[in-house]
Amino acid sequence: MTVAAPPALRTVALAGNPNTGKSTLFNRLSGLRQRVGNYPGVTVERRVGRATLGDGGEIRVIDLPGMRSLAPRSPDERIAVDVLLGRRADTPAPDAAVVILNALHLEIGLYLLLEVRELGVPVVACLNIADEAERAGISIDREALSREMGVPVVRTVATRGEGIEELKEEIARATLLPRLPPVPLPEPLHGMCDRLRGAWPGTPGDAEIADALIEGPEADGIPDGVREALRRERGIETGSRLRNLVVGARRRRIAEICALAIRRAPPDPRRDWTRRLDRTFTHPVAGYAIFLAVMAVVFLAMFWLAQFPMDWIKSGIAALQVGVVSAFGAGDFSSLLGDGVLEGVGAVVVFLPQIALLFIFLGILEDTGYLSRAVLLLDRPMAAAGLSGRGFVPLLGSMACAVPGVMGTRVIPDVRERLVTIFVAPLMTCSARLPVYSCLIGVVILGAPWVQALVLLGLYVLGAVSAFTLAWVLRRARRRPARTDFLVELPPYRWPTWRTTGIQLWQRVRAFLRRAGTVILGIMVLLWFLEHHPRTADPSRQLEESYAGRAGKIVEPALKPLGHNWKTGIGILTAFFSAREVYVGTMGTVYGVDGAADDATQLKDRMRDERDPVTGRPHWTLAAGLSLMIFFVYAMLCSSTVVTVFRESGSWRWALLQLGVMTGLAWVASFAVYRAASAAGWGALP
Amino acid sequence: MPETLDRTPAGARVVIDGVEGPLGTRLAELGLLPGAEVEVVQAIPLGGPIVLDREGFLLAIRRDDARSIRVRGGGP
Repeated sequence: MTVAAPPALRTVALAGNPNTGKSTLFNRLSGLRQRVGNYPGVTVERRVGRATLGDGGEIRVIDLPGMRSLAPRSPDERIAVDVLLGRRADTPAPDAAVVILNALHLEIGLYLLLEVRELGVPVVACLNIADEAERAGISIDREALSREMGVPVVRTVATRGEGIEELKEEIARATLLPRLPPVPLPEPLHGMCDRLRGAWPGTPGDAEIADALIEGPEADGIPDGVREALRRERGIETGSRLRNLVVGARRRRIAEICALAIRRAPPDPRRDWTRRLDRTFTHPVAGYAIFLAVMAVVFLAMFWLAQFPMDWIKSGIAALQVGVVSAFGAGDFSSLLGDGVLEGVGAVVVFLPQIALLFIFLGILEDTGYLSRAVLLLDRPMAAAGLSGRGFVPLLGSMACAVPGVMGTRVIPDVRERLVTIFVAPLMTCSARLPVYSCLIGVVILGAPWVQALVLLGLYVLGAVSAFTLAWVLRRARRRPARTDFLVELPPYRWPTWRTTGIQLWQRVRAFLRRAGTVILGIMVLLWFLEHHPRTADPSRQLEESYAGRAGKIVEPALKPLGHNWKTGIGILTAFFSAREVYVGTMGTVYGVDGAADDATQLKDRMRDERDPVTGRPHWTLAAGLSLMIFFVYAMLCSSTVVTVFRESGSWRWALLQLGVMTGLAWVASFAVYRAASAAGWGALP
Repeated sequence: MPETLDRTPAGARVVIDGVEGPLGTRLAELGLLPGAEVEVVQAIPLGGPIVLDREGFLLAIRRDDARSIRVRGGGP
């Protein structure tokens, strides 16, 4: 764009409790003109958009992570506070803040509004979900509220776009107001904060210091250097007295304001509706039955419904490959384009329908309010593994693909719990393992179809059990027992809003396709080169003689004890760099299945026919097949996941530790299974 | 008369007396201060969290955490 930017683009930050419709409001303000990324160095999602004001001017809108107060308890909340205070170099300091209040629970949201106003930033209060509150018989006197809080109050229904224009006007006005000096904390806290500020590294806000004073020197996240100073200061007052001084004073003020501004009609049929549904949805029997039914539907969608678009993508890519050959002839270039780029990128893009469906379902479950009930139902079972109910969704998502699963761990506020969930998520059986399992089961399990299905089910169960066991071990490994802050709000049940789900889905899909078009494309070109160079005269020996083939032979000694040779070596290496299912395609090439890698019967026969060059005995015995299946259960054969873990955990250490642990587990388990199976006499003909 | 929130039966209304530990600030921010009245709506099966209702705001907390919340009886 060549249009000159206005002298200074004004910025407004949207702050609010979770479940206030903040994201919907952000989408209303900025539509598709938004950028979603990460704040550098942390796993917190950064959402910045542009909104056009009534006068044609533009404004930058920052959607802060949901927060309860300015005393941060999670990385998300810490970022929100830092952005509000203009303390992050990567994000412009806001000229004004919008505090979004859930009109159904005004007295809870007012706490944050009061705190943000104390910061001195010009504030607009946005009374959202106003329609539901009115239906529930809650009437709010906006004038009284505005007068008492000293901020403009706008009524909105973000889901229907009501009040957005008025909100924009108030935002435009607020961003031009000067900042006021922050309201100091009451004494003696103010003096205590001032004395501590010098010893504290960085530039802590009063809220942080006050919080440390309240929670005490032993609390999490306090810099070691100030613990002693904190202890000294705290000698004067006890934590609960300080807490009452700050939090209690604000709460009393809120109670006064609410008494003036809120009137409730006593009968509340809507709430009763939510309660009635809750009695069913969290019932000891019906609750779990419904939960299982919901999960069954999600699974059916991911594995059956997704099959149709996946087939279209596959045949589309096959058609393109044919087109490439007919357009460019059978040369190097069409091989690069067809076998390298299209085949490889296609192997990853084919998962798009599953990922999209997963996010659609998660969006609906969250919008309707059911997801928080599922979190409650599963909290206790998950706690047995040291996780919480919140970890359930990412782990479920990992059964489609670990990449969105790992990204989904952002809903977990506790850092350590999030890291452990990220660590074990790739053990859940992702759909890229399914073609590999089907191929191997087809080769070595010769029983009836139900026996084959049982083996497949066993592999799924093994993955899940291993994930939970590993989580349990990792949570035990910490010296201090992990304390997780578990306060879950249960929003009333409501119908989903397609607009928000749609916009979020579009962002995920775009991010996924962009990655497929850049990083994965590059890897595929490199992989093609490694498989096709140096050139050999005999095309049937091309892969074996190539750099990739040599790499397969280099890893062969590590695979020998597991009953495998260089062929599986190449398969594992290519799977790691593209996707696990590519193993099947690579086997097709290695075994010289011409043209159609998905010609499963031909591949199965060729694999069964393979003999050990020394002993002449069949290579693909039951023991060898089982050992490779176990290897795929544990091994992190997915570079996309490694990169995602690095991005989400913010450290290569965690990603590489995970890679190491999973590889080690895979090798040991596979070795044990191979030995045991061979000893049981399954090393002979399958 | 129940002493802590984890022992309060479902359906009972109680008044918060005090909260031990760091959970206190979090709950206070949500208006669950000493003196606030809450209703125990239900307990999630299998020893799961318990659901509280404070003026229509439904909040679930773990039973372990509920143990650190002292309450006294309110109306039924």
